[in-house]
Amino acid sequence: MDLLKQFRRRQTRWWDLVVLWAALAQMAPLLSPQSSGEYEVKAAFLYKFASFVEWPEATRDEPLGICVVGKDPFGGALERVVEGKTIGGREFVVRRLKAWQAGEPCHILFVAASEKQRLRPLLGQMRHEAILTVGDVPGFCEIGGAINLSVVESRVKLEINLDATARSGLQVSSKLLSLARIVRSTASAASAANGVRN
Amino acid sequence: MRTVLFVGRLACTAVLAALEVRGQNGLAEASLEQLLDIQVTTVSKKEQKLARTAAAVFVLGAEEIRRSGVLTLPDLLRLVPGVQVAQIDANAWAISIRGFNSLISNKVLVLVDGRVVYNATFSGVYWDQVDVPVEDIERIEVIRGPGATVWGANAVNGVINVITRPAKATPGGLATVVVGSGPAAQGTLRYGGPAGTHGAFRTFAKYSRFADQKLADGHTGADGWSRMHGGFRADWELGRRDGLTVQGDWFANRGSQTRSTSYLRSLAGLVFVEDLSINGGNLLARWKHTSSGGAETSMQAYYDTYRRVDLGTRETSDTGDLDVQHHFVPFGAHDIVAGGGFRAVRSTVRPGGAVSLAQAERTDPLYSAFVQDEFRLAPQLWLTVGSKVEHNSYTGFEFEPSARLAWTPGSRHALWAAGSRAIRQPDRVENGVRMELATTPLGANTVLDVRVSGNPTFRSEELLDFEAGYRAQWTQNLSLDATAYASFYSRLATLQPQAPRFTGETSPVRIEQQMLYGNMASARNYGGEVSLNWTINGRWRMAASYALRRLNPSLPPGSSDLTYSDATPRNQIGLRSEVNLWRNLEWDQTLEWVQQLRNGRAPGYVRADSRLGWKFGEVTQLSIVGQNLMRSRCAEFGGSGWLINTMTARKVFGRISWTF
Repeated sequence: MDLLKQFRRRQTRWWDLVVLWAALAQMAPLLSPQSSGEYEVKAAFLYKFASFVEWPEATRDEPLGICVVGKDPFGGALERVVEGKTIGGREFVVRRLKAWQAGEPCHILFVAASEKQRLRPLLGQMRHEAILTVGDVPGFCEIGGAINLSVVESRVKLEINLDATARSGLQVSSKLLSLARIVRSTASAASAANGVRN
Repeated sequence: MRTVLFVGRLACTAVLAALEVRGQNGLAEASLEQLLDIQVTTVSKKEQKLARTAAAVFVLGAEEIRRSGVLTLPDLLRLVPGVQVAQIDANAWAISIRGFNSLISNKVLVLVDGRVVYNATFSGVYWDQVDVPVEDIERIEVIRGPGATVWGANAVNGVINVITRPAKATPGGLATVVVGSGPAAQGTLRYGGPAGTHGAFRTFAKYSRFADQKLADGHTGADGWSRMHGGFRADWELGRRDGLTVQGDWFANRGSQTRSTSYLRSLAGLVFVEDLSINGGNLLARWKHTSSGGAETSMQAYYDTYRRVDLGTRETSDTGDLDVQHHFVPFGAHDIVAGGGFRAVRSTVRPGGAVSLAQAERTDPLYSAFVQDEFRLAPQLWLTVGSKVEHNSYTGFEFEPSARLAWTPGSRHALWAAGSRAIRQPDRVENGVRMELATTPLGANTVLDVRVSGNPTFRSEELLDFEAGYRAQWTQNLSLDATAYASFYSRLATLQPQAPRFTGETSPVRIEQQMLYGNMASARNYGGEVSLNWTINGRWRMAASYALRRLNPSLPPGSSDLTYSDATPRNQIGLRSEVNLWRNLEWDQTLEWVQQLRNGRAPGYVRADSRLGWKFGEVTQLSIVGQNLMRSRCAEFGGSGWLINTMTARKVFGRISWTF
């Protein structure tokens, strides 16, 4: 008899857990689907940056150029995000570049992960351009990039190098700064970038 | 149990209360904060490569590891489909893949950052010596099935590869404190920073204390133990093409174990408590070079040493290992990995304990070389062929070839098949043990001594293995991995009774029965594993797995089975759920069902683990973990030889960690 009781008790415990699980399953549709592809979210960030960064006067009347250099990871997500959007009356133009050349009408330059091996020369070239460089590889800001989008524990994290934005003459809003990790150029990277410039 | 349910219900309410009514606007309308809070799904190059790997590979990632909330590496392996983890007592585990489980299961090779932790003296892994701070693990790669072509001898039923994060991924400080029932406690202190201009280092100190568990009769098992562990890792980038890693560990374990004087369960013996004491350390250096053409060369050297007093046996071991690997892509279509290595193990087992060996000290050199080529037969068809050649001091040359075929019709499906040979090298016990197994009175004036003797002509155990698998990524959120295998083992270990011998002693009359190690058993193993991964939405992920093993040994009459083929459950099911209840509140659960062991020494059981975790900003994490919640005590494995098994206890503990 005792044994039977014990068995029953054990079963209830087991069932309680199953019921709990099932209850959770019921709630699944209620939980708002928040997961998105990494590059859909990163594309949204590129669009948002335009509202939180001020470019120097000279570049103010052109449409906002978002350029992607290297192998495009967005697969159309960038176009979908900026389609029909304007900021301060300015439309967006998305361009894909094989390599950066001076004079390209870009405000934001997204450097794809494929350019990993060529970062230093590229960032050296960008040093005094009024362009917000956005990277997709660890250590991007440390070698002189302006903003890096990294994924930590499944969430996108922002890193900003203020020396880089200052050199480019960009004003970054305090709102954006408050949400990002501030990174400084490492000494050797700064000198390497100088070397390229000289 | 009630507490768990209460916490569960509380959590459910929290979900409902916390649900945010969010419009169906696109990501562009989200605020910066909301964008930062969205979980993203990433596909790495490794995963793409994984899709066409013609082997049953499972990778346990850092995020799953963090969310498991576990304190030990064996508990972490419970999350890997197809791995049987059974706790024997507080400090010993039996862990195997595809059967043959025992205290020192000898057919699974285990490595930590390229260092072999499989012990060649006794063939197996001392799990209480293998520990990595959970926060430092980048991933655990588990290969089910033979991996001998690359990894060499003893990678018969699987390979477990623990890989730690590079030092630059762990900058700053981390302090973790765990306090729990039992009482169990753990504390970790880690600090990392730059090492020169192109390098980074980290160093850690960790203390763990595990409480005594209970024996089956309710008495205390006196198997509690503590562990001090310290280590470091430093990585440098030497120019653009070279990288250097230096890492090391040191540890000291102190504890005790409850054991019997009798090896055989059928014979009653005296039960007593004995000390368990281990000190050890290792130092490893690895250099990696990438040539301008993309070829990679790595050279690795390590030294590993330990002193272990276990079951009254004093053992010391020193291992030196040198390994070179070269990976290159000649003629475009081929992807070749080749390598060579040398290892020397000097081990000393002091006579006087339960086990004594023919030679107290012995040094075994091992020479190895391998080549493996992956090439494209057709646009979607890949063939990988290769072999390892080894020379060991017991059996001379050994060959471990394999051929693997992968077909990837479309990017969402992959089919693969493989045939391979693997061996398990003899160890010092099989080669030359002398062990008093039992002394039994036969009559008023007659005594029978049963002795086990090693056999210098003991050969390698052999496996011929055939596998096939299917992998599907049906949608971005739903994937499946299924494997079926047929494994044919031969020359498995047995004990062969020799003719009884009269020793000459007359009062009492002593008769000696010698049992000699032999290779007389064979076995067939048919089975499969299925695992399913479902990301229901950004907040909820579920995984399910099932493993089936039908392992049938056969051995000639009179031989004693040493294969441990019956210490494995036929069926095993695992369920895992990870839910983000609200922003930084996580609720994770593991449910595991393990069928009764076929030897009847442990009943079937359901094990439930649950974790509730909060993140306070970027700095503090807090979690409450309940393990083995379904029962207050549960036997997962029988005793093992002299070692008496204790019950795995229900545990509840809190963990708090700060980064600084």
